Amino acid sequence: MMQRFFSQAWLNAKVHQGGLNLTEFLAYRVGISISTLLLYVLIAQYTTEGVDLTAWVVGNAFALCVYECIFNIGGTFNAERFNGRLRAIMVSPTSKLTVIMYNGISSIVVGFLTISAAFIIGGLIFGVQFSDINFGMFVLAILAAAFTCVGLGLFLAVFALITDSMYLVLNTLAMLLIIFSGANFPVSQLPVFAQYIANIFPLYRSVAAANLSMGGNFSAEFQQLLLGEIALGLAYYLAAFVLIKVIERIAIRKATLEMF
Amino acid sequence: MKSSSVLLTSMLVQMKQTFSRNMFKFTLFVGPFLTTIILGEMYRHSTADNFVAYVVLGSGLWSLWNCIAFSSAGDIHRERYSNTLSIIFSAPADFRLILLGKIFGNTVLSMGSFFLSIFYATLLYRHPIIVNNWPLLIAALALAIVAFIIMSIFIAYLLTLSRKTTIYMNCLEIPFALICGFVFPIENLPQGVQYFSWIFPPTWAVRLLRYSVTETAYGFWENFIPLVITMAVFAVLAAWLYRIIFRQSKILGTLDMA
Repeated sequence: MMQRFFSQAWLNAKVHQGGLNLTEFLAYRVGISISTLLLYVLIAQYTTEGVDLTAWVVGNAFALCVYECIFNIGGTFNAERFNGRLRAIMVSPTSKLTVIMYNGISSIVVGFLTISAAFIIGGLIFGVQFSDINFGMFVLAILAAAFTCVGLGLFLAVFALITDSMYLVLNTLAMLLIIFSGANFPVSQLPVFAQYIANIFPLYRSVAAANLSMGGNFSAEFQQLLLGEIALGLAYYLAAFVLIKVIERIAIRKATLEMF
Repeated sequence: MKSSSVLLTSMLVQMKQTFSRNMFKFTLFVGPFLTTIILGEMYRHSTADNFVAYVVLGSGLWSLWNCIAFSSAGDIHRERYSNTLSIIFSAPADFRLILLGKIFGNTVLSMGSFFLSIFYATLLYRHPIIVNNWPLLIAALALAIVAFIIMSIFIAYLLTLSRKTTIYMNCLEIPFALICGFVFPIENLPQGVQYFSWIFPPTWAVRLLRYSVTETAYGFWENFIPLVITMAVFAVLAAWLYRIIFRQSKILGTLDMA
């Protein structure tokens, strides 16, 4: 069982990454991440006239999770439909969430590496004091963010069974996630109803927790944020698990599996 | 078939096809709205000049760039995937006119995203839009569109031979917004990167647009002359690239390899 999971994960990793040579890999995976981080931090540098930019570097490094978790994991069934494998997957006895998970393994690994590279490079450019970071807290915040973002990715992937507009859904969600993460501006600037919405989005708590890891300790506030993020992640996994059963049935009944 | 007829037909077909894609609807309607919110909130405590220059015009230009560049580069990919790239390439109608028609079609639609961004910024933030020189703004906008079209043609030609169009297309979006100074002044970038920015026509078009808003940031001729020169250089480069691609595609025969 586990062997099959990892052999499928390896196969998917080769499908996703194998077509790129080293230059393309660096440009596509690392280059986009670094330039995205640079763009937002440079805007922040200009608007704040160069105050300490650590919070923006940290927040935007976290926000990069969006690209791997939302687009790659969330787009799993969409890609399977495009490759003509969706029907075969639906009629096979295997768990559909497992299919999404093994598809996401390489995304998580690559995502972790690119985010780390972007954080280190961004940190060096904008003078982040790495010695001030409590790395234990920081790593916990990263893991919590990754856990919740993967959960959201799983949840979103399911919708590909009933809609052919997944790119629209995923792009909208990705931008909303950046808005509600608080990576670029405090969510308190948004209207009150939007602040409530931010609570159901990943990264909102983990970005705040990561910022507390700058010279901080395991305070009650940090623990609360971390637990909140993990609870949200669990809610997404649960919702994905329930939803796949329902949507699978709707998709078969409405014959939307191969809808382009 | 007359050139104007090829151009017009290609443009109309392109507009119909593009508008039917949901992803384009995102780029046209939803993307500008969300980009305006991000920029608007980041510039919330900045000056009124900055708000107009980097939120109103910035989000508009960014959206316009996304629509034109993504669609034009993506169209080559779509034609290849539909197995029609070699057909339009070897058709009696000039491939350059077909491609130009596509880019014109995308530009007409993309203008919607530019004006929508301005509308969203005005609606959401109720900031007064103060422009010092409206005629110059309109002229600068027209020049910016021409600059974007020339860049799109160049990029579309560049990607014709590659089978990894989607990858390169995605690699262009953010770096271009970054180095051309769509949403912050390029003077914020290191000097070495600024020299690189000067190569591209959109950099000068953006500065000219900003000059029409503030009339204090940069001079008119200091931006107009480099804009015209860089546009001419990229137009010549695009023509040269077409000759190479036309020859290579016949030698390699890889146009249909998806």
